[in-house]
Amino acid sequence: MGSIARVVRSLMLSWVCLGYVAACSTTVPGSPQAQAPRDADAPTVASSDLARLLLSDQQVSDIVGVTGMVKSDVYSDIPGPQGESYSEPRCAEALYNTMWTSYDGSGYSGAAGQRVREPGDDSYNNVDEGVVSFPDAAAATRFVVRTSLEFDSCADVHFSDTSAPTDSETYFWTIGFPQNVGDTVTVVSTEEGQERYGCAKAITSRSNVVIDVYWCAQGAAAKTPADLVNAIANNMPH
Amino acid sequence: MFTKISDVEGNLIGFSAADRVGADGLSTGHASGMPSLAGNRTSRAFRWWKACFFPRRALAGAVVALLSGCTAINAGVAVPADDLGHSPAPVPVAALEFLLLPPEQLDTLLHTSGLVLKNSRSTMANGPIAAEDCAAPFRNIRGGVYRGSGWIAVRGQYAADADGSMFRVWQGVVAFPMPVDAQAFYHQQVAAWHTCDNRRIDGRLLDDPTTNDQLFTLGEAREHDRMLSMTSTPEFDDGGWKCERVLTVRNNVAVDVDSCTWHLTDQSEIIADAIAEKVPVK
Repeated sequence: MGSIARVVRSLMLSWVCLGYVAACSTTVPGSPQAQAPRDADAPTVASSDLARLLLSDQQVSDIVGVTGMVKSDVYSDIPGPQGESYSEPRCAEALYNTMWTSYDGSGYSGAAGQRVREPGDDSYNNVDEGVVSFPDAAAATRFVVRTSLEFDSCADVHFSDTSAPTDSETYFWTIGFPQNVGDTVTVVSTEEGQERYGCAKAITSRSNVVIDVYWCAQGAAAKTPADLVNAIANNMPH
Repeated sequence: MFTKISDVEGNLIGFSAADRVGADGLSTGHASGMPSLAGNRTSRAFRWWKACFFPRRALAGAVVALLSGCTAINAGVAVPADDLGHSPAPVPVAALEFLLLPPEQLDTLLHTSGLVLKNSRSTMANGPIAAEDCAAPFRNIRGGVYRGSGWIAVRGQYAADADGSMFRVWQGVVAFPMPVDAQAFYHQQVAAWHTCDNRRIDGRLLDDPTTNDQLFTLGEAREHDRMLSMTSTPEFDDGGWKCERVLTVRNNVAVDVDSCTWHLTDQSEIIADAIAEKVPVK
């Protein structure tokens, strides 16, 4: 009996060691992402009401700290392709927002957004704030989670964006590593050869709405688009 | 004999018969930018080994067999990496220009005297040369060479003796977002430079109709101590004028150097090494 017990103990120990070493697991830093629908109990927002969630020019100016930002482009659906091409279309949403490359086929039900920029031909400071509705909160959350997983695979990708053939300029970017700011996913990317110029994007969802923004500027950091997202979230009905 | 020519900023930069117009270059320091967890792995592996191996010798074979799929045990003494297992903080753009060597330091390093700073730049050199596919081992910090690499910022300086007839140095440093991006660029360049081994090339600027053919013969790309180098010799050699390009990377910075002189030996490598030593890696 004693020998049987020893064998059993040995086997138990071996399984403990097996579990410990066989997987060769690595622990990485990071925060778990919420899988449960966010604000699932909040009223859903109809597609026709999406534009009301967007921030005014003044609100945008206050958050980004640049006076006199003005609206330049308004859209009421996910903007379609304009003849541009991307080196990795799946990574376009990691750099910009409301990209057809990610939203087409996602089941979204409506979209609204606008570009808000610093006046002046020589200014590249600009915000694009977008809100996209889905049938329910679970679908909106699922889109954010799936998109953020795509961001992981796009991290450190050297991405290029070539404009339509009429001028065909190519812009090169290095996509940054996604980071969570609360339940908002952010990515800060840098443009090749532009010193400190970059774009920071942020995406999250509330109820059935995905809030998707970017902020491009010298030294763009994640906090600004995360603040923009929170401000839009505060406009959601509770 | 050579006729002196000047670059777009009015500075003497070459000889028309067989020398350069414009100059760019990049080089980087040592290849220690990658994170290393050697020290941590050693201690963790030891804890597993002790827990599993000693209590039940009968299980040792099985455990070792299981371990062997994951762990290699090597003889030797574990030493911590320079960066203590952490990826170094990338060098910021604002610090880039301070990596370049002032003329006095160049004089000391190269045993020359009277080198002076001729011009500085914060842009890549653009405009293709006739042998654009071999522009990288021929001239430093060229836009076409870095295009698509994800580089962020560049700083370059050209220094020479008073009339540029004895010694010319083009220093360049290029920042990338992360060390891994600089390493990727370096590895790509190692392959690219070899395709130009022993090539006879024309360095004429295609966008500048006033320039003449500048025929050079390239040497063979060499790599030692994570430093890539290649020589170029003007076709109308008048007594041993020669140039050498060097590229190396450290942290997120590529060090890209070019120098030309009579009886050139390893001056470019000395310069690149000195710049690379200034790149913080912790």
